[in-house]
Amino acid sequence: MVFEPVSFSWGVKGRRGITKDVQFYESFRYDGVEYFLHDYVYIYNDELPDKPDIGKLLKMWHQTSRNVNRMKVLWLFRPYEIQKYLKDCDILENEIFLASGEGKGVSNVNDPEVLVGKCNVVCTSKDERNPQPSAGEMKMADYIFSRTFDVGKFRISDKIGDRIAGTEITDIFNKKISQQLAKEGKDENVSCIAGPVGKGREQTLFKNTTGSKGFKADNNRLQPNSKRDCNTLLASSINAAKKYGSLHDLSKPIKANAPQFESKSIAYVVQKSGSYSSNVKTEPYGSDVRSSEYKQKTREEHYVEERKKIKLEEKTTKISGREGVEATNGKDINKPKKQTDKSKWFKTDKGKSLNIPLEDKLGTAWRDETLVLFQNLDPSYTSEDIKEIVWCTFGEECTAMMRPRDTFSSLDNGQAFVIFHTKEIVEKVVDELQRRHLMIEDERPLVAYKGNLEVAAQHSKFIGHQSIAKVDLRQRQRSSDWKEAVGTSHYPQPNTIEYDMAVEWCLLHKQSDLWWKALHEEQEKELIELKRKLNCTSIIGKPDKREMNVR
Amino acid sequence: MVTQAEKEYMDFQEKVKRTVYVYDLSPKVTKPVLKTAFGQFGNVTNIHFIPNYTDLRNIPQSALVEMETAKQAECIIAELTEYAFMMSGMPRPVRVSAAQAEMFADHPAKPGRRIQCQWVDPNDPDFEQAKKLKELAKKHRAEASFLLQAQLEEQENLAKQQGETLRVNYKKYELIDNLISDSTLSRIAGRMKLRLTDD
Repeated sequence: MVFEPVSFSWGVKGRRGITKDVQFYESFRYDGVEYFLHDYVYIYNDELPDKPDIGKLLKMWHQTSRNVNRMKVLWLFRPYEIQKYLKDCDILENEIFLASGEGKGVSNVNDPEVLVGKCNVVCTSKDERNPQPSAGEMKMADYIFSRTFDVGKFRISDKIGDRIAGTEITDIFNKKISQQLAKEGKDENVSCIAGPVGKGREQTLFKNTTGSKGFKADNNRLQPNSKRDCNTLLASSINAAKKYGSLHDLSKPIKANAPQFESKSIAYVVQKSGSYSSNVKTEPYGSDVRSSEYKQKTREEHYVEERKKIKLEEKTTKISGREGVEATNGKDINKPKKQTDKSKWFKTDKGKSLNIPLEDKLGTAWRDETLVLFQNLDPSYTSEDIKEIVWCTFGEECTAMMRPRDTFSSLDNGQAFVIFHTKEIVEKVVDELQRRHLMIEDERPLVAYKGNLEVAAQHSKFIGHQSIAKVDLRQRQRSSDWKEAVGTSHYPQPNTIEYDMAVEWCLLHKQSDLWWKALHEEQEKELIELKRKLNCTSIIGKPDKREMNVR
Repeated sequence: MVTQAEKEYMDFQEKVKRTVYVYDLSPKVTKPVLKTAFGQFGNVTNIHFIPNYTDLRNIPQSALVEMETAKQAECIIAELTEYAFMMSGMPRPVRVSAAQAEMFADHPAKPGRRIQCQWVDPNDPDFEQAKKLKELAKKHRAEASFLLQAQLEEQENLAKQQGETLRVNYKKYELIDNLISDSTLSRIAGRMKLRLTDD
């Protein structure tokens, strides 16, 4: 019973990916726990197994060709992970920080096998877009967050931007109550297995369906009820949790957890035991609980019922030997170890991100030969789009950043830096793009070069500011206003040599504007010409066109 | 009905209108310098230097300066295009233009956009066309980079020539200065019976 493969099944289907290969989902069931999009989760941390990382599920999908399940996780940092940057901010005892900004460490793609369990996180940001959590929700929360940590700038901020890791901020904030209840109503008979205790009220639990109209009308009636429900449930669950704790020896990882969280709210204990109970459960019981009989019972009854079952089961496992219990309890913790390389991979990824600014990363990638320069892109693409394109076409993870458009680039000149994990992948990608063509939007074949920052630079030293060494020196010695005068932004006076020179520069600027304009016009003409020729055997409207909806 | 993404995109477009793209900046220019300089024309609400993503440090910088209103931004662009304006050094003036959405590294995606892509294999009838497009793109890129190089050379020539002019001018002034300071000038004036003072 210990090493049997952990059950995994997909739930509600979402949109299709760019290729037929990828299917997105809105929920999945893993090890008897149903996870939904935008849930908060614990993720196995192989350095500190008793302090699992906390993340939020942004996307989940299945890739047919490689037969892999993947999920994109937005990280939330525990204070100790970013203590270097916390300086002297006050931190609440269960406060965590939402990752934001650009760079490594905002999000990662992982195998669902690294999941440890669900986590109840509430956003307490006073931002007006954030539905404020109720007192009950606050009590239930394992963690709260209201501030973000920018992984690019290494700064804590209480402002939250409009998007993080390509996800709308409204999906990151708390869910609106009406939505929650409406969803819950419809889901009640579907999936309550994951939340035997405190999780009954977890806002992220029920969300795989859109609200049913009939239920919405009942909202007013339901709300107070469920709140009272919730309180009695809480009380009984505390008792049960205590009993549970004293009756049954919790496995080691849990124990190790305990002292750290001792000071935390009771809700935490409840939550914990709740989630463990669901871990302990074996499949047959799981399906029992899911059955419709739940509907007829109050939560309390249901809870007690379930507890009994668990106790029963615990007893049976005890009979079968202590080892068995430990193995069952520790199952979640042990399991990801099979995936050691992967967990390590994302861990170092995340660790690195905290120290390396973007430019240095590019430099490193260049030296490691893991950098690729993409050209001929539509400049309006975002870095997320590039990542998605790379993922959907090469099936590779990458870090991508669109190069901001500069003065002299024409509309057809979008460039992006893409960093892959290894040199081999770079070889593969560049090679593949040479053998065949990747048409984006039917008109832009992707051009890729092995990254070369010098090509990218294309600029030389800044020139054109003159100074006379002797004067500078003399003035500096006198410490007059000279330096300041140079430093101050100003218009030159018409009777100075500076003015004449400035005019010469302006002349050059006008000239260069003209030649760029001429070049861009010429290039556009060529492009239109070529495209007109191509339209004879148009690529547009091919039956096997693959689509992706980036957002 | 306006969705969240659309609204966000509209807000962003509004921000772009309020923003001035300033380039050919000396590496010495910092945020406070920009803020003071542009503060003369209106209220600066945000400054973002565009990272150059290279190992090089001493290269021209560019920045996006967000003003309070679109009017102020327009005004700055008109003014600084008309007249040379210097920042942290001379005589090379800074250049400005209206900002464009793609200049913002974090520009949001256009709402509702779908990206389609597709592999074209060598046996595909479109392979040749794709190849041609690709080559054209490469050619254009090469042309642009050649032109940029040429432009840089022009700039260098101008800078060198100006440096020379300045040096010669300075030498001239120094010469005059020396003549005055070592009283050669007054001796010559005495011999030529010229009055130096205006009295």
